[in-house]
Amino acid sequence: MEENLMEENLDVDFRKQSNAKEIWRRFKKNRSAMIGLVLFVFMFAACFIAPLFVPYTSVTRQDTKNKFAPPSVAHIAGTDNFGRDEMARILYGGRMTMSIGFIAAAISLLVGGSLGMMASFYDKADNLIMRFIDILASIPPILMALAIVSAMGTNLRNVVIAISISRMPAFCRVVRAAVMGIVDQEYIEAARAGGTGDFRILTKHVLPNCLGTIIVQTTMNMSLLMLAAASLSFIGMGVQPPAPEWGSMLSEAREYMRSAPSLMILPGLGIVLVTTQLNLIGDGLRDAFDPRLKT
Amino acid sequence: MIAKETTKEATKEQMLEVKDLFVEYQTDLETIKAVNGVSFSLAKGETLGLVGETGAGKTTTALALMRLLPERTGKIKQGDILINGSSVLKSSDKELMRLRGETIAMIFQDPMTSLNPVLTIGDQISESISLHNSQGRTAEQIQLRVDEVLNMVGIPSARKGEYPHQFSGGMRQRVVIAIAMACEPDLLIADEPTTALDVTIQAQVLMMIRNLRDRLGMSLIMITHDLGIVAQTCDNVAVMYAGELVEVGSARDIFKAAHHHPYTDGLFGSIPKLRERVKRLKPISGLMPDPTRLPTGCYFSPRCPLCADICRERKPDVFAKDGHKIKCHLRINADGYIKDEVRS
Amino acid sequence: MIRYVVKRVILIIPILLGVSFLVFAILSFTPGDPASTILGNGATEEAIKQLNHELGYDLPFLQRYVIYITDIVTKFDFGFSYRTRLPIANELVSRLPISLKLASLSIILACLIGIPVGIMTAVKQYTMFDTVPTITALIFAAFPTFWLGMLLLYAFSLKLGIFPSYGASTWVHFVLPVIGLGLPEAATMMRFTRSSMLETVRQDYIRTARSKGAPERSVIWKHALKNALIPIVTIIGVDFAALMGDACATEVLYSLPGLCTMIINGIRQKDVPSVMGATLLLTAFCSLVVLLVDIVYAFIDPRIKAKYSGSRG
Repeated sequence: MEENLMEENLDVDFRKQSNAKEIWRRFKKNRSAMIGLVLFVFMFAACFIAPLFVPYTSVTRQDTKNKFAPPSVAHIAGTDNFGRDEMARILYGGRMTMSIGFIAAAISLLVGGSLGMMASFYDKADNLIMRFIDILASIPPILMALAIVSAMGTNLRNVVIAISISRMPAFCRVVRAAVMGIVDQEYIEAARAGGTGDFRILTKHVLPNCLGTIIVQTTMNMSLLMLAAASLSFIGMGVQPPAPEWGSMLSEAREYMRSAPSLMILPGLGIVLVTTQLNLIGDGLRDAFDPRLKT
Repeated sequence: MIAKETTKEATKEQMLEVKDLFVEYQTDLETIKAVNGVSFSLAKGETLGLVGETGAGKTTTALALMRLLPERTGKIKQGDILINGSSVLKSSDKELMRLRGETIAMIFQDPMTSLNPVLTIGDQISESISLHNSQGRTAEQIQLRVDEVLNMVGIPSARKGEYPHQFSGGMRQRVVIAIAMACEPDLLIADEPTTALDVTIQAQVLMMIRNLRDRLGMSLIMITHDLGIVAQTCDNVAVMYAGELVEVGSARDIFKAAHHHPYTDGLFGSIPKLRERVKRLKPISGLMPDPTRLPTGCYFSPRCPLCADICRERKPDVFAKDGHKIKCHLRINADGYIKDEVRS
Repeated sequence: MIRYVVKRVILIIPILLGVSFLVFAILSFTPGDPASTILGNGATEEAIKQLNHELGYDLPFLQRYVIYITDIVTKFDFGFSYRTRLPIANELVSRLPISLKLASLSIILACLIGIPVGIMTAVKQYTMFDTVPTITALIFAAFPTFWLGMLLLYAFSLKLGIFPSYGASTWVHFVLPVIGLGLPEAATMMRFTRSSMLETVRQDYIRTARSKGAPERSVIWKHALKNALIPIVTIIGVDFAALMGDACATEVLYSLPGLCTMIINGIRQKDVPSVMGATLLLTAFCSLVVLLVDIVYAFIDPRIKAKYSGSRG
């Protein structure tokens, strides 16, 4: 929307901004975001409901006589280098990759977000926290994750912790900026002057108003975290075999690129699709939360 | 729908004619009816005040005159705009570029955002001059003209190499004015040129615009919500509400006539007067209607203190007396105001 | 202007110290001690204790950090590898060019594709020239560099045999890695350029330019582009730094002997000095790149330039 249009309808937009129904209405009208959401729900459901029907043993059960089998009724997507069912591994692998992404995003948001909120709320803490975040942010995320994994050892828990910490600066800065923008508003000053306590200001005024920014950023970062988890596993510093994970499956597929190139298709496609879907959803949410930014 | 009586002779001296203009903003989600049938005209050297609240469609009208509406969302749905007798809506891109800057120029509302932050003010002024260089000025002559224009608006020409952020708000507005004046346009549109400025600077800037107008003999459209500015500057006044002109007349009509549109009365009621003892100011109650869902009947009816049944049902006609026009049901044949038959 | 550059350079010192301290602290949590790693399983406790003492490992943590940093700053001495017993510094010097070459060629490729295409999509918004590249970029931005790398490797190396699949001895060796690393980055860059450009075109001063009668191409190239490029320059710096890290998977995939493979080998062999040295050097370079870009930024943005040029304003 254009500048003059914006000004002339400022009160209209403002009223609509805080309305969850209105946001959903705008999101629904965004075709690409809806495509992303529908596909994501489908893939998410497939990866998280599959375990109810496919036992974990079919992921690890080796069948050396039946290596690199082409797709068949028994194995929809064929088998891998150990004769394991590729489809089962893709579904369980997707569950692993996505879970790491979600959990790491939650940790990163919780820790980074709290730091950001503290920094924006207390002037004394601000300098300390932000200088620390500056230092943390000047280490490339993957290198940070590698250093942590190196010190603590490669297992699932440490991988989650490592990539959570590596994304923390991003969350911290975003939340700080969002909260700062609101804390400076006059209605917060008015609430303060009226004797409202910090905690109440935070929960009643600040959080609801920067929720949009936080949700959008979390969605966007989730895809980055999943990419990071897959990267770590690919270079052998993440999820360890035989546990299936899209990155580590690609790492295994790389060994058999000559004899069984088809093994590298599904895990890679899985990562691309989920990342694209999350990006589409994130873009859609951003436009829905702030229609003025829409181009 | 209020049009000045246009006889053939009159048309010739009119430099601007707006006929029954409708403008809409269309987004995926809604259609905003910003301008709903506006007609007015402006003679050479004349000043028209366009008055109304924020959101009345004043800026939209002005942008439509220059075809500067946002390309995708802003649509001129109906009507015509004639400048010196030729239609702006039918002009080619090339004609449009000549029109902008050379025939019409605009001073924008917010001097803080209207200047390009990465170009020096000298560059921004000289661009105007070299784009409309019919006299064939050389680069040196263009620079001389830049100095001249800067002196005209009271900025030392030595500062032309500086960037906008190095100037204060008032000084920036002078730069914006300098850009608009650089090619001595026939028509200047000043869109709330003083709203963003301090009170002390406001008077200076206003005075400057008036002086320049008088010196160059330009026509001027002064968009404002400040009736004081109207009284000081304008020959004619058009009062705008929800995309319509509800009252048009000479400045004298608007300030002194016995009959007004209730909205105009409301505007005056919300300003304190020095010489009268008023117990309490009377603000207009309520808000402007949502431009996506305009009321049926008179658009002002929901807020009108005199609202009758007919106001909610039927769109009012225009009633006129000696060029003073009011668009209101309640003026029917009152005191010599007769229905204005000239509709475009 | 010099004041600004000096100020920025000085400001980077505490960051570098902080980063080195953080990395040192994290890696000091690595289980085990250097002597047991060096001497292997068969060593006696006495010998281990003796060697740890010689290595200064029994000193307090802070003291070890100070010694480590002082050696780097004064003698460019990063210690020696637990495995090869060779100085880390030599290996760093031989590997750094490969990492730098990979990252800088990739970012150059990304800029050459991303920025022009991004401008085109913004200018041609809502036409085919916008939708097709935008959708392509959306998908490419989601590509893991290692998967794109694998596909390229399979097609151009294994099947077509045009490019070598591993090694870094000639320029040809860098073609596939650079494309694999650069294309997803180009997509990101394109998306950013597009939105920056669209954001700029919406500004009031663009309307002012149009109101002067400026033709569309001058509005785009003179008024919009310079403003839109300012945030893009920052992104180039930040992304270049990130690329240095993201290059890990690419280096592994193409067996490029860069700093990332040194870190990964170091982790596998519990060779802490290797991991530490390579991580610090890479991070230091990232900080330097960000610094450099900040300085360039100051030169193109008159708002910063004027602040430090000593003139008024």
